[in-house]
Amino acid sequence: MATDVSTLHHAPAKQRRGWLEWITTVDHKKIGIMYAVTAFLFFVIGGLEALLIRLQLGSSQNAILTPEAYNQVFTMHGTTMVFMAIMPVNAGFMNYFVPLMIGAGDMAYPRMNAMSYWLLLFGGIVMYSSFVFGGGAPDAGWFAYAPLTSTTYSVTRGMDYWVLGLQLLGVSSLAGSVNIIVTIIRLRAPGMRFNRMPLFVWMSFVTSFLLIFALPSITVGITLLFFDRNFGTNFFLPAAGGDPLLWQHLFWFFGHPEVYIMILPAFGVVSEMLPVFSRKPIFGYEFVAYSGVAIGVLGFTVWAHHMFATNLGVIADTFFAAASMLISVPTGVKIFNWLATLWRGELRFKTPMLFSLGFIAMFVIGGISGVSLAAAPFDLQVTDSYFVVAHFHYVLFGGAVFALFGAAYYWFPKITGKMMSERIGKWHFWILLLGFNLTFFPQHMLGLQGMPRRVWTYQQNQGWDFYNLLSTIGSFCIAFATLVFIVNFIISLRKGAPAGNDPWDAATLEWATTSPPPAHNFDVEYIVHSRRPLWDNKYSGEGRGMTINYDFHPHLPPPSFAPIIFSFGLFVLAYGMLNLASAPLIGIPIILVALAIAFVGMNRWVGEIAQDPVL
Amino acid sequence: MPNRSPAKALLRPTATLLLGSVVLAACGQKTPQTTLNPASESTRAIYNLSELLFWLGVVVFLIVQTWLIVSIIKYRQKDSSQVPTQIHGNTKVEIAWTIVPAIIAIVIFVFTFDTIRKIEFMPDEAAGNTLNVKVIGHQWWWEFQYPDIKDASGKPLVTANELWIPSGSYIDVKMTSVDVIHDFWIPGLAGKRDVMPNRESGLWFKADDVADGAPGVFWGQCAEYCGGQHAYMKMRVVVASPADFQKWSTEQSQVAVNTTLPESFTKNCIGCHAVRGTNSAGITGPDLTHFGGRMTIAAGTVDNTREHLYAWLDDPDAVKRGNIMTTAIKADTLTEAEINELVDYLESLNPGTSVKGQQ
Repeated sequence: MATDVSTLHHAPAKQRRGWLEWITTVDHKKIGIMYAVTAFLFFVIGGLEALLIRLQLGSSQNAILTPEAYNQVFTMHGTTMVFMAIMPVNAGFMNYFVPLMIGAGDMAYPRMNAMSYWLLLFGGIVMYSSFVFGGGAPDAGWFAYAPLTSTTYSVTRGMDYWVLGLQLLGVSSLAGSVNIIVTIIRLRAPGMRFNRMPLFVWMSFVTSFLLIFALPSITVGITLLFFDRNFGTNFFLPAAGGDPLLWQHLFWFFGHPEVYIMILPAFGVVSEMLPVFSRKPIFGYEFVAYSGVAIGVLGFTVWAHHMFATNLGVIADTFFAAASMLISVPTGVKIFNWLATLWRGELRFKTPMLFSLGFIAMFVIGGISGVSLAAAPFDLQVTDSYFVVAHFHYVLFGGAVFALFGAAYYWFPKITGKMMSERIGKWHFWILLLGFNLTFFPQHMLGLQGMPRRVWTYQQNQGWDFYNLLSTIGSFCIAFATLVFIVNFIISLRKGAPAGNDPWDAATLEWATTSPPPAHNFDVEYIVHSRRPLWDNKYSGEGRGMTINYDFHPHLPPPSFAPIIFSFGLFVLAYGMLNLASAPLIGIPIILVALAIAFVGMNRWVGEIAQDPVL
Repeated sequence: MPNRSPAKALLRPTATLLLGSVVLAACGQKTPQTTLNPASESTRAIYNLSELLFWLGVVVFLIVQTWLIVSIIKYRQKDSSQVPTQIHGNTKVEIAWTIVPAIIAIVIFVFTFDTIRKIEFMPDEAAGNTLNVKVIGHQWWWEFQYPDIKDASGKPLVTANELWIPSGSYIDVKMTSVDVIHDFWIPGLAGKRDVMPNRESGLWFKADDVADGAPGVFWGQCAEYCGGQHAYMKMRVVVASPADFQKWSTEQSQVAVNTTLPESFTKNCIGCHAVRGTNSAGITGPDLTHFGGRMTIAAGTVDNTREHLYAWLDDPDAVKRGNIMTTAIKADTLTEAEINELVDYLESLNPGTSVKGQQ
């Protein structure tokens, strides 16, 4: 290739400005930022829904929400936090940092990457538009048990919006996973063997495989549900011989791996942050990596532990109890390795480190209650009670959200070139730690005292007022802590201290380039010789961790309208599908228009691929 | 309880203290629906398992948090120029902390399996000492049928939202739903069991003995989200001594104590409700034959008093929003005189053996 290197380096083909720059970008870093910001907005929306829930339950027989409103709010809280907050913020960090950590210039499929983002945004909009157009939001809970989801019992269009929103989010996740996997397999810098990859990259790799194997199950489930609701089929309707339990199997075969899809990337970032702030390598790299793989594989064998109460029988109970308990082994291995990483280190308690340590302390509590729930008879008492609510919030909030806040503090300097305020960051951490425990620890007690989950109210004579009040007070501490984070974010974005390339004295390749990195990520190609290329160059001698190839020709595809046009076509298609059965004369034209839009996008897309240089 | 080891003898009260007393004493309130006060063989087996889980959990919690806190104190950075020894791992240690959690998991599994066995298989001695009960879930109330006890017309005895059982007998519960999935849960007597529309699920339990004249009341509630009023799909289970139960069931098998239906009842109620001995034979709503003796109205929503019943008939939507009776009875459907007539009639349907008013 006789391309002029300097033009490629500093002026990638026609760059768009302003908002068009974001609409058309195929840069994994910009897409990563959009993912994270969108996910954070949904996190705030889901958090406001949580506050409504807690306000309503703050005392017995409250009437802040009607039962119908409450049921919509808790359904959307769960759906939002799982599919539109935690998953996409993970996707955002993967997008931004997997290519940087493996020394690549971009993701393997930059346009498909943009498409994944737009489908997330559009999927979220479809789902939330149900409040306005659907006569009510989805109201059957985030795991949407049949036959409550049928048109007989869920009379608004909410569940149809739920299905179509999830379909778009599913395509988004599937494409994103393929992209991550191919990027990791194909685009690693020379010498970046699998056993030298940063653990965040490892966990991104495992997570992406989990998504690819788990998503088809829910895709089938929601497609059948859509047919039941719109086209007169009876897959889940018992009156006509359908089976509601089939839904539960389809859902949880996805739903349990989904838990690891949410938590493994958090394990990954913690495995990056702990060594950096302990100034030591991760203890037992192989064990940490392979235990992640083991958790991923075992995660597919435990789904029916969500269904012990359905009378599975002794043999199934025994099997699923045993398999679920087995997962505690690789999880325990990870925790012990993290603790051993701290041992004999020189610990620096910067904000990302505080969140990492908080993650270990909180996640362990969620793990302990998790093993208890695997004991089927105990599960029969506490499943579907507030004990379970406490358990999964310790895993997903105490675990995933703490780790992801840590990641935000850790990588903010790289993304923006500025440091976040340590002082405000520490306030954020301590208020959040207090608020989190105040909110969720009492819920263990409530569950043991017999309070079922998903009740819109309860009576004074149940004796649940006190712990509910504590929990509600705690939830407002969490909200306040989140506000502190937002303030810190805005202040630091405006006047944070300059970060420099490597503010934390870190070990991995993303810190070898400027902050923020240039569009093509690296000016040179790094040839990797160790697991900690940057650290070893700093502390073992230049060239010990990595050497440099200056003869480097990064290729970046030009900005493109194709992904957003194509995604917008699918977005419109969702509204066509919504009307197909109820008003075909509206639905069919919308579908045709949608397909035309998608076709225009696809056509542009194919044309642009044809212009890519052959590498 | 025989063969109790000294360690266990010590642990048991301590765990009860921690799990129970602290939890309850923290706010000084009674929690009638608690899981921490088991009163049947199966819930006691589950409680024993949860004690083991609790103590193992405490041990793991203490190990991890102590390790964490000691590290934080001991290894805080003293000298920023110092680079600590770069330790990459240790295979022996890794093997150790793979095996130790595995052993803990195996211990938990063994006790779990033992408990599954105890609570799932009905013992042989149950033969001849079993009462069959059929639970039918409705949005949002409970129907109970006694296949072994016949009413005056020879059909199984039917009641609603208040399940009476004899202590000391094995209660063999079979359940199904007429609409969505519900979940039958009386924390003091048994773990949860889903109540599903297209299959029969089941469980059994045997409540601890109670004395004659001193029936025990247990609170229960639907535990699987079942739509609008999931929160008010509650029930009471009354554990009576065999003699008391005999008395109750004999009374319940009779037709209603007052079979003269008031006109407003005939006009408004008989399409959905049954009162045995009259021409009121609806099946959509709860059987009202002996309504006057029940503890609660509208599946545990309010206590069964004249005032509550008046409010309920005046505007059922205001008491339990969205319940299915609101399709027939709106706020202005019944006149004051009609409501009073209905209250008088329904409260008269009390055959005598009742725990109404008891908590």
